[in-house]
Amino acid sequence: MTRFLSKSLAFLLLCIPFPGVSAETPVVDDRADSIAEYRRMLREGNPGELWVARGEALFHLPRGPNEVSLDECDLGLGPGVLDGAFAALPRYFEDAGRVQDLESRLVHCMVTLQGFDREQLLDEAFSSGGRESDMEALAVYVASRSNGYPLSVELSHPRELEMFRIGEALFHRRSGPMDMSCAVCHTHEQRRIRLQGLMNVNNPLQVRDVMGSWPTYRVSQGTVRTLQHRMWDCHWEMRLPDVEYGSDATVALILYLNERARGGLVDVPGIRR
Amino acid sequence: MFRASVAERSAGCRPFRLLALAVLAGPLLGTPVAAQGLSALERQVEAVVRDSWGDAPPSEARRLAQDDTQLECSRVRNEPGEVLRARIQARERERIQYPEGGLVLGDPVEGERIAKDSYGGRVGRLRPDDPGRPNGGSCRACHILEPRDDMGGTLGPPLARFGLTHGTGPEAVRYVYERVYNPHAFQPCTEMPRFGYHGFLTVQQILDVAAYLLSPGSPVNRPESPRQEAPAPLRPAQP
Repeated sequence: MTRFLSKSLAFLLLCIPFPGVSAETPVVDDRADSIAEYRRMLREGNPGELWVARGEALFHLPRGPNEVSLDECDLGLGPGVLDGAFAALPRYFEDAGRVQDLESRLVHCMVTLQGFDREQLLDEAFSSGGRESDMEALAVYVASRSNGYPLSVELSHPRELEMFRIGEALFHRRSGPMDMSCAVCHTHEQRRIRLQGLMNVNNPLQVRDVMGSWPTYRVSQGTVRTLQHRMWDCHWEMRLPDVEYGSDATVALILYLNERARGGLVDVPGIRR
Repeated sequence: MFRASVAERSAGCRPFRLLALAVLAGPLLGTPVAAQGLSALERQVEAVVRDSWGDAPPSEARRLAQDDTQLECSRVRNEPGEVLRARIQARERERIQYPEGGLVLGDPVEGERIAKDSYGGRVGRLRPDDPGRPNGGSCRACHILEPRDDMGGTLGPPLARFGLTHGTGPEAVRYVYERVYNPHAFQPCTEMPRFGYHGFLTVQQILDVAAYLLSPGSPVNRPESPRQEAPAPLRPAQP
């Protein structure tokens, strides 16, 4: 079944021309509609579904030094409850003593339940070259179990409110050799970096659309990428050092964005250039 | 009790890195943030920054320290009032340094290459740029550069035909040089990077870009009429 799916997907991808996939594509104004159409068509055969399937298998398989599955992992709604859990993250977790997003929570479970080495998990969180990432598959699987749920972070715990405020401040914090902050690019309506449209954090429709569609399949990278990767990527482009996977800065930013996106429906995996 | 928690956790965990940062934060980016009065929230944010980039080597971590203008512009969300505008403008003007050989237009062909090149300055373990290769200016990421430029971004104003209205006189050369070297001297809290102040571009590179923008023969100043409006985004927002 998986092989068949894989083959049909490959066939689909070969058949569809790739306008918008290359950063060198010239702007032709009347093609915006055809791009949207192309994205709709791709969604019907989203290769990211293969990562969802792999993540499902990994999640329920006994793994790690302790040879247990992640079925006892509490993602906020109780051990083993996956439906709707991602939509309410990040949130404060008593057992960890901190606010965690999906990925930092998965790391927590893989370390405490399965006995994996934390440093190694962080090192291998992003797939690269030929090496697949379990984290990308696990994250998109768990997120997909919230499909159709509205994003609904609550900020009911004082630490959540604290992290929201920190995230908001980080979003506007300029630094580095290009004087950049997230806000430099993401507080304007209808602006582009080169040909790439930029989300405006003050436009709830755009923020909902974006935050509800990560993790996403990246056509240009041939893999699923997660919000943690998006956070790393933005800071890298801002000429800042690598931000640590699952760190407080990334969680605070994701919490800030998900609060702005509240009410948006989860629909993952997304698909992007 | 929760308010101090993030700061306490990180301060407790990484005393040596904290110390190293405090010592190293200053030199690259002017006045370090530690020298200035921070609010309780700002102190929490700084603790989170130290913690979240705790593995970065000091040579990279210093990029995270804010200088005075970065801090002030962050605080006012890039919309400074009159007093702050004047203060930043005066301070940043003082920071402009000029080439020893005077302000002479450089090579427009090299300038075009620099304006369209986005390579350079990225650090980290995962995908660093080669520091041995000159930085590009990434001008095109934010500006439509030429009358038929279909690739330019729209964060900054279009620059097509810039030279036709500015000429190539000494005032025009000085203006472009200073504007690229330190745009806050003209527009406090602008989103444009201080290319010269940070040394992201060399003085000669800025003069080359100035030649590209101003020279009558440059593709920037081709006689074709520019587009009536900036083209609509090709792709829906997807950061």
